[in-house]
Amino acid sequence: MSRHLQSIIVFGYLPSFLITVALVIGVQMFRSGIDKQRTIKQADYRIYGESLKAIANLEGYLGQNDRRAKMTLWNAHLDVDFLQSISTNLAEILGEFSESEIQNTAIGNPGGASQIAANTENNHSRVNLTLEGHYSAIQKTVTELEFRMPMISLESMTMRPIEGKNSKGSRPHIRVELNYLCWHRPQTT
Amino acid sequence: MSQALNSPLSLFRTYRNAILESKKTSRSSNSNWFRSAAELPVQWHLSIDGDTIISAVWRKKEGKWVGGPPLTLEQLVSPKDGFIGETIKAILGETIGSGKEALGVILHLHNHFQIAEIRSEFSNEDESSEILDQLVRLSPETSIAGNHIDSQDFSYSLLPYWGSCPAGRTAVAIKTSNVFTAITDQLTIWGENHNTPVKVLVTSAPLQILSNFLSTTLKDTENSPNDGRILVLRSLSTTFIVVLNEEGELCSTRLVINPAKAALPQNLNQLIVNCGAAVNIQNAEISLIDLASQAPLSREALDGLDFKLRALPVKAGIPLEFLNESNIFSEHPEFRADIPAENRTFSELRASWADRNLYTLACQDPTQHPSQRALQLLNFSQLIRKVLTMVIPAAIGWCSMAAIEYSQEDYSKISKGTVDSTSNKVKALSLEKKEIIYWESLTDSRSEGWIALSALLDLFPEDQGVVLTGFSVSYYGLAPEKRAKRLPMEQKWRAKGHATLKGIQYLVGLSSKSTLSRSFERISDWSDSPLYSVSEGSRDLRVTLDQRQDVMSSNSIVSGAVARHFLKGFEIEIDRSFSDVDQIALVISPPKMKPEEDPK
Repeated sequence: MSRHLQSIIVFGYLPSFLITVALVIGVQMFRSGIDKQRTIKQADYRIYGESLKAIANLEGYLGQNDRRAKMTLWNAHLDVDFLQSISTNLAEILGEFSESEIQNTAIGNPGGASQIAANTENNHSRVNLTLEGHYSAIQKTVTELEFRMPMISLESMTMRPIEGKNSKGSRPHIRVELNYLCWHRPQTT
Repeated sequence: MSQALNSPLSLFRTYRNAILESKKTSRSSNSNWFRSAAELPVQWHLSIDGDTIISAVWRKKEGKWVGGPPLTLEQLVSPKDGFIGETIKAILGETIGSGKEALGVILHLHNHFQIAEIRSEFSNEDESSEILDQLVRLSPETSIAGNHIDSQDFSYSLLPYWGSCPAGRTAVAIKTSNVFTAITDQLTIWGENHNTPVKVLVTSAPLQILSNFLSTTLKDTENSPNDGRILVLRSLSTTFIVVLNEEGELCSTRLVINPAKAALPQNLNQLIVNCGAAVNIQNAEISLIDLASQAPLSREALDGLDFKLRALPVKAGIPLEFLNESNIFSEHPEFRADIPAENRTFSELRASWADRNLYTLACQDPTQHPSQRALQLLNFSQLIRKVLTMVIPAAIGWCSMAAIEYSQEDYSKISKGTVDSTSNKVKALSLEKKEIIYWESLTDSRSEGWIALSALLDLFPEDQGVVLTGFSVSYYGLAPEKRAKRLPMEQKWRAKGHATLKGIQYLVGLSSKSTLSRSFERISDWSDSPLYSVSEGSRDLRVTLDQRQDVMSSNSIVSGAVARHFLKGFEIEIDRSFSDVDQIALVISPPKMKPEEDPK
């Protein structure tokens, strides 16, 4: 091969060939990069659109029936000690009645497992109350207590009439034993 | 040196030169740059015979000879400034520089050359004539016999002998004076400078004549009984003796300077005999061809010479060496003869050796310039480069358009951060929803004491003749099935006491499933608690009434007058069950409070 032909191939064709190859590869990489980016962005955009719909649905759900307000209330109750709370609430409620109308004769922790929650993983504690007094006073007390403490559920209630007078000289009509369980926040592992 | 030539810098310089030649000359488009002088359409022939110069121009296209510019030997040897240009313009006209004109200048030498012996080690048949020619041209010191080799003032080339003769040589060298180097170089350089191919060829006139007319001479002696032929070519300044063997192949040559113009060498007979004897040809037919038509030999000059005078076709004013087969035999068909195919001398002379340049012209070295094919390839590469210069912006534009098009799409404007924050918000809201669902499930009105206390009064009204002595209500979570997410529930009512007859009737009515269902639906209505509804398919209701004869005894609450009306003792059991798909079924596990699920 002559020197001229050699120089023409090296400086005339080789750079053009290399530029062409680089151009083809560059364009191909750029286009495929854009296509890849487009695919990613389209997927992101789809997720974004679906997320917006999901947010609208969730916000709609959470906004219904004062759910967020309820949750705030529940959180407020969940943040305080249960036994202290029920003692305080009960004292406040009973304070509205005379001792001849109703008395809290016992409050304590019942033994054994919960009838309701034993087969679940829900975190809970239990309390046993004994109220003696007029039916209506007991009914009002229970109603007020359950209203004030939405986190409690009744496990059992036993009622029987009482004969004779109590320590205050009043003649109680009935004795009601109430077993409540109170739901707590799930335990974090 | 070789490394320097092949270095990238040198190669790049070669490439630059090729580009310059492609741009500034017509080499890439005019194929005449790559032809020999004898192939060009306009040829200026100069016959140089001593100080006699005949000038003629052959125009191939028109097929005719015209008189060339007159010039002297001194002008040829030492051309003055402007002489070359004026002469070429006179031949080619004013179209010089258009890139289409070309001029072949052919110097036909009758003298200014000699026959020289080559060294015996190179004079054998094993050497290729082409290789030996190159060796003789490039390194005469090593290939020419004798001690006085002057490569400055002389050019050397090879003349092969194709005939085999006993004791004969296979080749000799033609030693040509470089006296015309000035004009050959100037002609070539002028052509380069004016973008006009000017090709110069310096040839030996006797060899060209031999090449053109050997067939004619052989034809005449075809059936000769002689063992060879000797041709004596006489010109004004020299006599060229050619010895052919019996087959007509060249065996020997000799050039003798004529003692005086138009005279034959003295003792020519003896010279001829010696030439024949040197190659062992004793009985050759000897022919004299007189090339100096302007000064023909007189009868007296031929007296005493033992050969026949042979005539060759003549064209008025045109020396024989200018002519060739095409422009002489068409006019003189009687001289046409077919050379035997096996005659190598004729075919080799015709092929190249007769027209081979006696000068090794550096300025006409084909390796100095790129070939036409190389230049065409160069032009094509530049065309590719031009196309690329258009394609590159087009490709960039195409890519830019794609990028702009992409950037204008809605989806391209969404950042990853926005998508992530939106997804995270969905996850956070989903968690919040799970938490609310969980707490709603736990705090559902599943078991509330105030409803139970009120429901008791609803189920056992005061005016129905029923007195309760004990009552309980209990709620149970039953054992769940495997993988169940909710817990089936059970509600148990237990009541005992005494009843009048009316009370018994009431209790019997209450213990029917339909009556009890209506009662629970009523409780559900006023308490707004779904727990007491019985219409759900996931719920079951069972009631058992046990009555006995048992008169109520009086006590501090109930007097004997009242108690005696309560004749019957009873116990009633009401069991309600709720399957795990029921609304109030208790969720078994709290939700996982870290996001795992897809928000979708």
